[in-house]
Amino acid sequence: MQLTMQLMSGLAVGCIYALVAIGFSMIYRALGLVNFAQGDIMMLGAFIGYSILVAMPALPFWLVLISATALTAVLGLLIERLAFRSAVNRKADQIYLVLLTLGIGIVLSNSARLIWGANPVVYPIALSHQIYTVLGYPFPAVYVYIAVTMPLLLLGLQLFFSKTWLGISSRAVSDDREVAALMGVDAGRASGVSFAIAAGTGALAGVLYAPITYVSFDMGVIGVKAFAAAIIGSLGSIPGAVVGGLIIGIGETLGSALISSEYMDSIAFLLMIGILLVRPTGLFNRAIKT
Amino acid sequence: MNEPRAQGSIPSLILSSQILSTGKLRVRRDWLIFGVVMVLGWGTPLLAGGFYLYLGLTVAIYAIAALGLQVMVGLAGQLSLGHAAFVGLGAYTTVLLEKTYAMPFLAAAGCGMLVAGLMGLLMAQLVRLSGVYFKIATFGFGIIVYQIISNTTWLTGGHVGIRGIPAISIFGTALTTRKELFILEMLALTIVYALLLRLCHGRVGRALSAIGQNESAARSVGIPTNAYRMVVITIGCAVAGLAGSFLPHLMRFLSPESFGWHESLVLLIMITVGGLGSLPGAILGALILIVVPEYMRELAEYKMLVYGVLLVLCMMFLPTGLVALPATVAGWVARLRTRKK
Repeated sequence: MQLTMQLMSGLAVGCIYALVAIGFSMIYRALGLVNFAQGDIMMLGAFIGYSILVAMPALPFWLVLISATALTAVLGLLIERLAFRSAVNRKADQIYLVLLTLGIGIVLSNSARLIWGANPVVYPIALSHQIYTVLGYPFPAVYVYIAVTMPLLLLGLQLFFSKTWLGISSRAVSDDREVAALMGVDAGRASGVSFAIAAGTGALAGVLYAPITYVSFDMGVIGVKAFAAAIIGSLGSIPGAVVGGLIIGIGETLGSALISSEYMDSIAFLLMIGILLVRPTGLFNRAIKT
Repeated sequence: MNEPRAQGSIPSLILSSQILSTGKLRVRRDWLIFGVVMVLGWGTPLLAGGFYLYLGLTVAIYAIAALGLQVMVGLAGQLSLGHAAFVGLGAYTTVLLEKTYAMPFLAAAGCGMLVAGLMGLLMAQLVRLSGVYFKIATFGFGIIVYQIISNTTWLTGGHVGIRGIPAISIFGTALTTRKELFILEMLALTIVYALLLRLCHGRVGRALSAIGQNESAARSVGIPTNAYRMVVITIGCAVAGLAGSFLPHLMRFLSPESFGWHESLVLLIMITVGGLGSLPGAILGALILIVVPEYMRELAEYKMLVYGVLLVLCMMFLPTGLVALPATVAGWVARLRTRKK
């Protein structure tokens, strides 16, 4: 009983990590950039969802989900345009790009603190507390949304990258920026699209995560665990990000039940370091080019 | 996909302007800068006294920690996202040894450096991982150390922290005034700065700058690249431990909050704003990030936001940091001129 419940919550949190990790991986593939602001974009998405709910309390949750995702995607587009495009174009060094994303993360989280305050907020809807009982197990209602969103998103991404011209061209750009540009692909637009999708999935993660816990300006830190997830599954691989997210989510939940919940984050990173020692480029290393 | 270039360009960038080159002129210039920095660093707080002395005490500690991080980033080309954890290891080791075994400060600080260095060596084993992977591993390392410090309540007092830090005692005499503490800190800073400068000019520095220019070529002439990186990472972490051994004696209080992710970020911002890869840059960055907030106390709420904006602006417009400001401005002027023609 206890174990099943822990597995369940590990799976749910793992899905959240996976969503953020997909964002990491997409940006890494498109721009060769490790985006440390991804967790803060997730936080921003969660807050945007909160503001939408406060403004329109009657809006159904799935509409909140979609509108927060769309708004954050636009924001992602803006960030890419203003902050990253020039740096990526002049082929700035990886260390500078990482520091740039860290800086943007700090700016985002502290702006959020000024806008929404330093105290954590809870979504003012029934979903935050609603719990179903399935076969005698308590089952938080938001898990249903997570369980529906994950496969839909993966399917959508798969279709986007294999069927639409925009998706195929962004894959071309991430494979080889110069050659793709020679073939007439607008590399800038492709990276913009990747950034927007990454920001959107981040927001999706944030809004889905909010009913499980709360929303606060510093929740972006869990983004780094999502990063560990992306790394376990090899940076750049979307299925890898999903598998990595689930490994981290379930691993840290079970681990903290076995050892101590105070060491939850440590367990996540020990898992990552352990896996990296055995497979230095992650479990799905097909996608890594060095 | 940018990894090979990533490991290369930081040292080569330094080569172009800053510390790593080994020409006699550059060596002389670096020592000249060292002299100027030290005269200002020793002189200003001691002459001005009072609040300046307090600022000097704080800046010196962070300058030492930032110097350690700077060699890791500048020489080894490895960004560490968990540097504050090593400061914490030094701080806790020193204080616990002083309190439980009444160990004199120098011996305790030495143990603090040793513990931080050994943990650094352990972390350096991950250097075989490619750049991005190493960065996130350093982050993980920082979190693990932080959580261990926070949760081993029987040893460290956990989040409650440790009070009643004993005064530093050296050869039987206790240092009770701020001036004495400052002199000791500055001695440490001077020695660390001088030794790291020697390191940069010496064999390891040359070897790592060769890696910066062309890693495969450097390997082909038999430079053990990863071994050198591990050495530099270990040194950087031990230096952080030294900074840590001073920190509780200034604060008179020790809690894990001083060594979290946030503090690691601040250290990174220090070396970036000052100038990545430049030792005087690390000191300049520590100075700015400590002193400026002290004069903007009423704006404390915006402190981190300002830091973030500073970091972003630096990365966008001044990637070589403030130490290279004259060169950067000269570059802009030259570009403007050619554009006019």
